[in-house]
Amino acid sequence: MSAFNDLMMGFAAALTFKHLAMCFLGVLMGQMVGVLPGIGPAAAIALLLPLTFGTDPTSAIILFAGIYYGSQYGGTLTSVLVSVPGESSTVMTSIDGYQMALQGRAGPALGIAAIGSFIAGTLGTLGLMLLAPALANAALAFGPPEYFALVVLGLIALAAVGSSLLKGLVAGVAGLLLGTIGIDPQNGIARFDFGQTWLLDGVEFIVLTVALFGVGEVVASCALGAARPVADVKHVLPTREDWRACRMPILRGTGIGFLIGVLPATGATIASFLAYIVEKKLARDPSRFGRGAIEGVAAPESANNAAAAGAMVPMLSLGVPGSGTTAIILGALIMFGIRPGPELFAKNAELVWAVIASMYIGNVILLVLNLPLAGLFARLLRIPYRWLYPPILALVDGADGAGPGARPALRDGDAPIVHHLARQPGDLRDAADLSSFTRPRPRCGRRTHAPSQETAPGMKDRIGVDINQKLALEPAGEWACQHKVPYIDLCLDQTPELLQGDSPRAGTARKKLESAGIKLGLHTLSAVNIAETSPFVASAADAYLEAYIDAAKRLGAGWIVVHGGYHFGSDKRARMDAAVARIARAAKTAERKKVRLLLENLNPEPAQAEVHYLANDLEECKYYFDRLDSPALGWSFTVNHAHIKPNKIDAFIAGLDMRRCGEVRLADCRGTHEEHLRPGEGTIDFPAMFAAIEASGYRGHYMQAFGSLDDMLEGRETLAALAKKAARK
Amino acid sequence: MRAAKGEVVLALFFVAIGGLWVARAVRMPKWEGFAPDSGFLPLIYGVLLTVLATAALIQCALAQPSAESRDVRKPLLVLAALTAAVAALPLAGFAICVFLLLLFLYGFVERLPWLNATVVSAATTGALYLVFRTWLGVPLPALLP
Repeated sequence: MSAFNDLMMGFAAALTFKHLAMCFLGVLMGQMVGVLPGIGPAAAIALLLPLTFGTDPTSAIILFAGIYYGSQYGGTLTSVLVSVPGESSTVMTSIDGYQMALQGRAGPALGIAAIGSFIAGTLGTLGLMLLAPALANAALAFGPPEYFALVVLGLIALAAVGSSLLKGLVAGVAGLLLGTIGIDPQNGIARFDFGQTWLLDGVEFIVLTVALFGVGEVVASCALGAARPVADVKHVLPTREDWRACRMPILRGTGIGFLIGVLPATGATIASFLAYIVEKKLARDPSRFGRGAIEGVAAPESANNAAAAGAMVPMLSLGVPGSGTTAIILGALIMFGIRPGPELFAKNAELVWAVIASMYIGNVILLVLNLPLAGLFARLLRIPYRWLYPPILALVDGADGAGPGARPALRDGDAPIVHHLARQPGDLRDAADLSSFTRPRPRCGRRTHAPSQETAPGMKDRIGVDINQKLALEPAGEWACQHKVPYIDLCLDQTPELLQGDSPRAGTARKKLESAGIKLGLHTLSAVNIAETSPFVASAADAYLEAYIDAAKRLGAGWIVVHGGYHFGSDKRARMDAAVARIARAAKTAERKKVRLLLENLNPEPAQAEVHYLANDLEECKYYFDRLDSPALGWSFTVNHAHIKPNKIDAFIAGLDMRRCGEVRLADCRGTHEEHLRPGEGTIDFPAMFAAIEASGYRGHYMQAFGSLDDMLEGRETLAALAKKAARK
Repeated sequence: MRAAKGEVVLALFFVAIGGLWVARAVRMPKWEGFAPDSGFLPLIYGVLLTVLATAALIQCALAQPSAESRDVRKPLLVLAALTAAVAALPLAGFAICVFLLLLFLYGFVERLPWLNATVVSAATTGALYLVFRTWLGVPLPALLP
């Protein structure tokens, strides 16, 4: 019943105009790439990846899934009409399909293929709907060993997708090797950059995908000759005898196809081979096969479509690709900041169910396209390839320039399922887990990878200084470098030049900070009321946040600390909603610009105060974070605010998702009111605090915010010693 | 089994890359306390790639040479044109680069009549720009330099 309700929710999303249009476009393009030689679904999706920047992820995945299963329909046309399989999964179709075409029965061959594909696609989607959530549920119990096994399975599955296991392994290891290019996210050491600064961020996933799948396929096919003669398509509806002969092969093909599709590294091609062989074995007269037996078309066509749905099961539930194309779709999910794997059904239910619902709709569209319009698509086969490949390459040229710098890079752990490993407590990846959202990597001073207790002495290198407005940008950088402070926060309000456009100061300062390995964060003013609802002032708050996001992009700042606003008592709910809406808008912009926002928990004011900061207690923080799930939004945990009564530090650590935490802000306090004291001057038990935070799996940086710069320099020593004390306990 | 010359070249390339990774990774720190350090995984990957690519190379050497001979001039010409267009993109902008790429491919590589090639190239460039830039709002490089 739950699956049915979820599916209805999916239909509600998939039936919106935008998603319907994407579904139609996807299956139409899939049908075309299936028909056209020299470009397959993997290449088509790879080429479209850069063009989907800024679009809604649900729309993009509906489009890609449509291309995937649509291509299975399209590949049939070339197999039947010219005996050249458009896809490897339609090789078996060409054997009997082409013979039928030679006998003047191309129409019924295409008709039964379309009907079989529709039935198999629909039943396969039903299987996906029932099996994938159950599998994902079971996988939620996975711990690190199971995830590691899953990673290994995924990598081997990818290696086994091709025709040679050895070559597949070589390609797979070469991919892992490429993932090590750039700054090591664990400790900030630059690896394999060969002195090129553009390699410090690693190799961009899209560049690699477009080059390997898009350009590779087109260049390999550009020597293809002219179009072949194409058989005429008439009377596509099968006769009663045809239908009677094909009923069982379609059902058997569906079952075989779905089961084979679910197994990683098998896919539609093997499914179609197996379905064909089974039908031949079961046939009363096997000699008919190869001479135009309609069952020889129905069974493999049903199998390859059911396998396409089946391959989505491990992809959506485990993050394991069932084929090369699903591997690229997984890459697309990551590009959109969505974690493929068991949590997908829980955290992105709307997306998953919208895609599943769109597959039902897409199959209906494909049936319509393939019965009455089969003859029209057959005409595409008459276009010589020499007319087709230049525009495809032009698209590659454009894709190369689309949104430069906005693309996630391929890094250690960017194999989709490796992300799950990275998600385990104890790993350092932050909530977004895209390389552009990864937490800062200090490069000056001692190295900082310091999982918890054992390496607590390295804690000093994880502690930064909130310079705020004490120094301007350039002197702040020099000061940090001189004192080997790896993390600094700055407020730019006193240097509006840096907030107002492309100041040359930004570029110069950025280069200096990067070369020194200093990670910069920006800190907006807490006095700017993000919860503002008044006209003019409200839009000014939006503009303020946007200016900071743009400045962060120019300065290469890794994060921006933002706030939840304040209220006057009676208008609390309205202002919280205004703040949530404003932060959601800002987060969307931040997502697009690959900047990370960190929402800070502020201090409670005395009960009798007229103004109260948002969000200052656990309940208010949850209100914000429950409604803001953007991967670009994390949490800046200010410990001394969480210590003011009635709040408790432990309650925050237990109550909020520490994986979303991007900065822990430190100052001491006596727990009665807002104050930023040096460690030891208040009542915070820092060793206990460090132990609790590190035990939660947090491996990010700490930021001091108290006293003078000298106080905070001394604070680094003091706090590191306190952390060491916690480690000894 | 038959092996093409290209496969041998590719296997040699991977052996070289694996060796390069090993050579660089041995100079990096490999272990820190209880956890792997920066050089650990690159070293493992480098060794694995070298071993696997060597195995692939041996497999190619043991196989009969492929009798199939393909003219690679055209694919190489296409690849060179694409590389030049991508390199020129930041300097010349989307419209000029794409138009010239299409004109070269249709007119020079495919030997289509120059008038047809010019018209089709211009129409395709315009259509790509309109669809992706205007309709879909994709941030393509500037129309003109």
